[in-house]
Amino acid sequence: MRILLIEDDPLLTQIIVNNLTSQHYAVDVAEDGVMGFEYAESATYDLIVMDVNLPRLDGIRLCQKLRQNRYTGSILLLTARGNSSDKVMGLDAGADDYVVKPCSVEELSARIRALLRRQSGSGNPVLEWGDLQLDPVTCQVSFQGQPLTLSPKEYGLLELFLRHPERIFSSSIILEHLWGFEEAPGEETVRSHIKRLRRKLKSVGIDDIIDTIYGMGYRLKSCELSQKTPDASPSPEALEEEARAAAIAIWEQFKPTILERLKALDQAVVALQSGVLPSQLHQAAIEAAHKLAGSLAMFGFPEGSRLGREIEDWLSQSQNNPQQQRDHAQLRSWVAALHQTLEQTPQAEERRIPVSTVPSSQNQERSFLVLVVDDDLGLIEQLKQEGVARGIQVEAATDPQQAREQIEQQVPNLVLLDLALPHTAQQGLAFLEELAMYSPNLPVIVFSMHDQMSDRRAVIQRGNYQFISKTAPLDQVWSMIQETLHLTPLVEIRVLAVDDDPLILSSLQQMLPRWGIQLLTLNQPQNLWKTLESITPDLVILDLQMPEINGLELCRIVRSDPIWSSLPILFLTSCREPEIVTEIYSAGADDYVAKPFTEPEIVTRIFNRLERNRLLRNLAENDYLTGLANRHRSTQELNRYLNLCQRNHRPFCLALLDLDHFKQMNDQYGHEIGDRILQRVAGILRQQFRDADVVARWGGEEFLIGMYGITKNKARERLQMTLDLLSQESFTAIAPESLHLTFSAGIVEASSDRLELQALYRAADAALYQAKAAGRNQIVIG
Amino acid sequence: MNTRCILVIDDEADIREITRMSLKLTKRWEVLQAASGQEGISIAETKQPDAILLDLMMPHMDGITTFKSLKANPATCHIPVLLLTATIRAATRQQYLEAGITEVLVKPFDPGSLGNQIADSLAWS
Repeated sequence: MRILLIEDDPLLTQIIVNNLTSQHYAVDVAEDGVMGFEYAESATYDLIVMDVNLPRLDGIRLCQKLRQNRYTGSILLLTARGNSSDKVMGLDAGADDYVVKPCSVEELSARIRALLRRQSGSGNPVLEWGDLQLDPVTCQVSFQGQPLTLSPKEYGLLELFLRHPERIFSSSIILEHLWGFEEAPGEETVRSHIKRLRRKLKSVGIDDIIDTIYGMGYRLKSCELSQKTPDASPSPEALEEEARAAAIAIWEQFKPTILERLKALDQAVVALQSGVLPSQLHQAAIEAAHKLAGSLAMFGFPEGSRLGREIEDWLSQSQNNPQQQRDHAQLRSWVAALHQTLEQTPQAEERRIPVSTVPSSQNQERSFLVLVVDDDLGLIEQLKQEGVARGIQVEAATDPQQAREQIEQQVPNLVLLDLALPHTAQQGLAFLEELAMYSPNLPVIVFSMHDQMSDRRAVIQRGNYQFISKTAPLDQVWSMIQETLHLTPLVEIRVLAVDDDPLILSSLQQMLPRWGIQLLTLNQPQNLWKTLESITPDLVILDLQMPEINGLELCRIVRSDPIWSSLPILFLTSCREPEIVTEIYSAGADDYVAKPFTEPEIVTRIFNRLERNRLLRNLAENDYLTGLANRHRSTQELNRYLNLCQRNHRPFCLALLDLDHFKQMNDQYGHEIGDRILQRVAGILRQQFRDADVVARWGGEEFLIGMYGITKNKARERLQMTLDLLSQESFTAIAPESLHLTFSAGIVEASSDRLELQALYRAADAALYQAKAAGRNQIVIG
Repeated sequence: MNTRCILVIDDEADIREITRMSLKLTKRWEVLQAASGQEGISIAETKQPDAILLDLMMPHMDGITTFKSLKANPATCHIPVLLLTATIRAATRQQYLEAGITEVLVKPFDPGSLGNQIADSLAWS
């Protein structure tokens, strides 16, 4: 494995290189973006680790450039604390993951391992539990050498448990892992799948391996035999020990350099005492503090990093502020504390990183089977080869009959179908109808040809399918496959706990990670504000009584800022007096847990809170039910188009659609069928509008469409076509009886006096209201 | 009205021919053809077409590189460029538009309406 490190801080570089070479990776180092790019062009790397802030060419642009130049290896970004836009931009630019500096050597190498494991199918270890084996590469499960046939969902469940032997999975988390947003069944489905899996395993003699933990979820039963880690890499504990020893050795090596950096701070303090801090020295001190903050934690001095950060902030704020410069007692004490800290030996990592759970977004190495029905052998070969690298198994059938046999053997996760098979499209269409009968829903992507414009309609009427042009580059085919399979990384939940009692923090640290919750702790409440901004947690746990600022005050402060007004806040308190509880709620808290608390209690409260805030879902970009863009993402895209339409003087139309009498459908057939109808409608919208249009589910049965480069009359034509198509649909594959649906819509076109999204939306909404008032099933231009 | 002149840059001869026929029949526009980015640039320099229809995926010199060269060249930088591509997502289209591409047209296109699409994009009456 060959790694390229692009980093301009020689110290950091040295630490990382030492660590990586000790793990037998080959490492090259480049000091700036341009050099990094040249390196990457001239050699093949499995992974590139790069800083975001690089001289000559920054990490984001470098990422883009590398991806444009078809670099296909992994990219890991090192970002500065708190810069969440960097992360987003970085991932958008093509990075695979990021690590926030300062980070521990353990975390960094865990992420690197995970990325490398993800890209190489061969590094994918066989998972074992006693004599039970699951091979993620071939997707085969066997017990004592005998193959076992599992349905894809049963397989997925088993894999999930085997991959996370320690972790407890609640039904809702299992749903998040194994079911795409489009299907999203209820929790009872999980129960029945677990039941079926248990029964199958039992039938071959494996006694129940999945424990039910009452009221909480499921967990893999421990198995002595499974203790021997199948992964060739050492156990997390051994790895940590190794890393710690390495950290001490590295520290000895770099102590002089660090002390040199400290000198710049000493000089600044002396200068302040004498009354004048020259700006050059001031700047040098800021830089030194910044570097110390960024690196000390890696040497095993998290406190040093923290002090460095305080010092950096103080120095930055005191620039051109003589008043603050005169009052430098605080700075002096920090620098003194820093000296003291560095006199000690590097401490063991306070925040133990559970290696098995941290890179959770990389742990979802689910295996998928894609069946290609096509007679283009060249294409099949290409898909098969690339599939291996992407962790997707590709099987092929050259005609519908062969495909039927294949599906009987193993139901694929997705079918890629070419309608232009030798024996006319009619046969293909009949086969599509057959595929629609599969339950659960079998996603199908249809290859379309130039001359098949008319066929599209025929295909759309047969179910929820996606199209891709046969001439589209393979990359696009893959991205559609991956999108359909929801191969997007799972959302990790971040919880920030503020408590001055390290015992509470460490017990939370033990409990939460196995639920997929990343816990960040803060024992200094006064730093809450800065921490909030830098880590943007999904939920905050506050202790009621803390020195200096109590939890109630903190809670009020947080609530007073509109940005954090909806952040879930959970209180920990040993008080149970009603008046205190009332006070907690009136300060803006969402819930409280009494100390001492149990694991199920706190975990349940956290999940309930998150669920209620729908954070789990809003964090993703797509609507959980229909897979269309959600409000958040579409708002961004709409605004971008609005800017373009202003700049390029092109038309832009916004349409708001609302299904007519949809509530009756829900009442009559139940929400499950109602949801599937919504999914089908979303499918029709997706087909009728171009990928380049913004198609979003705005909420309930309301959809929003943004069309750039199209005038309102043209937009109306398109919507009318969609309405015609929808009214012909009878939903027989979904509902117990044939039913018919229409929508009402309002369209507005942006104009010089109406360029704000809000104004457009209001106008479209008013037009929609008119359409409804005029008897529904129509489109009104506003 | 003057006859408009469109330069089609596409490595596939079939697509060039369909485009030419369609624009000729529906709009009576003059259509110039180039089979590669390089050829397209030199034709654009000398013939000064009113607009360029450029295929995204071409061997040797892809559409974006061609577009950049056209924009960097003082003799061709004023000519509006429309990009032709198989599929396009909103975010990518926005990137292209922000980079100065006049419009992104999606293949397979309907020969009957291609001319109108181009005219709409360029605000030609």
